[in-house]
Amino acid sequence: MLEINNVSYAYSRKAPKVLDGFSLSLAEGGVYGLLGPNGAGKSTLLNIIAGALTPATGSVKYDGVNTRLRLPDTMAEIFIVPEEFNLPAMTLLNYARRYGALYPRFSLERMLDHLKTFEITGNPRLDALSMGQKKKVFMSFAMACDTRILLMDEPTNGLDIPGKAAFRRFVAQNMADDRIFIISTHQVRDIDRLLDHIIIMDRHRVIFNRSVADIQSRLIFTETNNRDIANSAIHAIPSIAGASVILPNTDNSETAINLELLFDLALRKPDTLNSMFNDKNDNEL
Amino acid sequence: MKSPTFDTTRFSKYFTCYTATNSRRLWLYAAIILITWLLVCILPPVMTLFSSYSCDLPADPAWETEGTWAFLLLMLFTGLSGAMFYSSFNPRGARVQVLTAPASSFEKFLTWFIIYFFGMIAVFYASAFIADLIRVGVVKAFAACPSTARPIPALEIFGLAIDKPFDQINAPDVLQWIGFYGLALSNFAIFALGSIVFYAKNAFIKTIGCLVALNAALSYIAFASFKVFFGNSSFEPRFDPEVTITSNCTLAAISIIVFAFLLWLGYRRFKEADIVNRW
Repeated sequence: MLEINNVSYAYSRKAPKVLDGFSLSLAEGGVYGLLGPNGAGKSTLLNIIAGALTPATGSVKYDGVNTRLRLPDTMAEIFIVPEEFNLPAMTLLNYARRYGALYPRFSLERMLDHLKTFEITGNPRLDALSMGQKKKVFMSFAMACDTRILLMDEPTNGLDIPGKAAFRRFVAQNMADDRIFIISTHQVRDIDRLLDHIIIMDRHRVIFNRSVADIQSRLIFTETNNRDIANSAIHAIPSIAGASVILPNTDNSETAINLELLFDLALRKPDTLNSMFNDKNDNEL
Repeated sequence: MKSPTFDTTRFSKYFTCYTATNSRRLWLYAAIILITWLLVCILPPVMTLFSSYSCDLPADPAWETEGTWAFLLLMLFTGLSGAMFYSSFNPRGARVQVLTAPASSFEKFLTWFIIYFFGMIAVFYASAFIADLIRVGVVKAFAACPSTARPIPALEIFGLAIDKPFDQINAPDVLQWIGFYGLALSNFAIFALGSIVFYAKNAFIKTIGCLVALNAALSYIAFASFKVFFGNSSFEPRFDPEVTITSNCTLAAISIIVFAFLLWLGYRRFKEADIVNRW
């Protein structure tokens, strides 16, 4: 279990807080989407979880151990793919062997399989790769380390269209019951089919935190050109078909979540959205 | 159960990983040290057309020069090594990987200390002897009296130009020797601390700037204090040979204490460091 308790953070004494009393609990076996507008605190939160930033207050604990202590055993179970990263000037296989040795469950064979998903073969020099290729290599390495927690910050940035499709296959194939994946992005369309749980942040706090199953049981996402339906919907935005709408789920049907629409509703009318769920969010502030 | 602070296997993996990742930069640094020594050893005889190598000389004239340069270069390269100590914190994209790599802070610190201190010292002296041997070869090939050219004795380089036979070296010499090496160690630790305090950019220059400012401030305080306590008396330093042992002992002790303290401070700062430098 990953416990985030009352975490606050500001980048300097004079800067406004990016996170303020933020709390969240994440259980194993889920792909969590961490969504929010720019400046909401998503990257900051991921870095705090990974132990790369020290919160001003509060703590993040994995299995009861504070991640900020950066203990080797804890770091061996957490891997972060940041938005900005560096790969050393060496060949891919040399990098895999050297860095993989630090992670107890790293598998070179798995990494090569992941690279095939991304259509990267051979043993290229890492400094000769494009940014998108480097990202694919780094994500393949991250997945092959088999850490219990995998944090990905804007993972589809820099990926081409086939790369984004490969990324979705990549995540789907590697999820396991004892792992936690947290994907932070503002490009919601790239990951909408992957998520088990959706967390929406705005202005340094969680405004929505629900499982996909729960959302689908209470809400319907559909397109309509019927103006009356659009006007009576919980939320609607114009689309090519007329309007994309969110309606209460009254007949237990299941529709695919329109993440953009949900995200828009959460930012504009968080109270309306949360009122559709009988009980409060676990970590609502 | 593995110790969270130090595990031999984990340390060796991190050490291997770090050296492999930075091999190009480390080889380049080693090459710079060697080239510097080659310039120090070979340029003077070449520029003077080997005129200093006459047959009536009791010793190779290069020994004293190289011995003196040894201290200056040691101070230079201990400073540069110190400034490179936390170099893996740059660029920013590498910082999170350094901090979250599954090795303890102590293991990472020890890796960098072995490489940038002991490794640098080993390369430094190896380069000195290699460059000196090449000098001897060049001088023997071109000088009018080639027999004058001989490889520098180890004591000249390690002893920092203490111009005495080994069996005549006494306590003040040893203390002076320790004091000079203590200065080099302190120099390393100062720049290492600067490299973690100023790790965002230009750590070397900022550290020098701080040293200059600190030196100026301390000099002013010393001068002002002297004026306050001694009025218009002039300051006349007197050399007392009896004091030499005490002052060298003091220098040695202070240098080693400063070295240990600054290194500990740098380690503490590293443990507190984040991917964002908030200092």
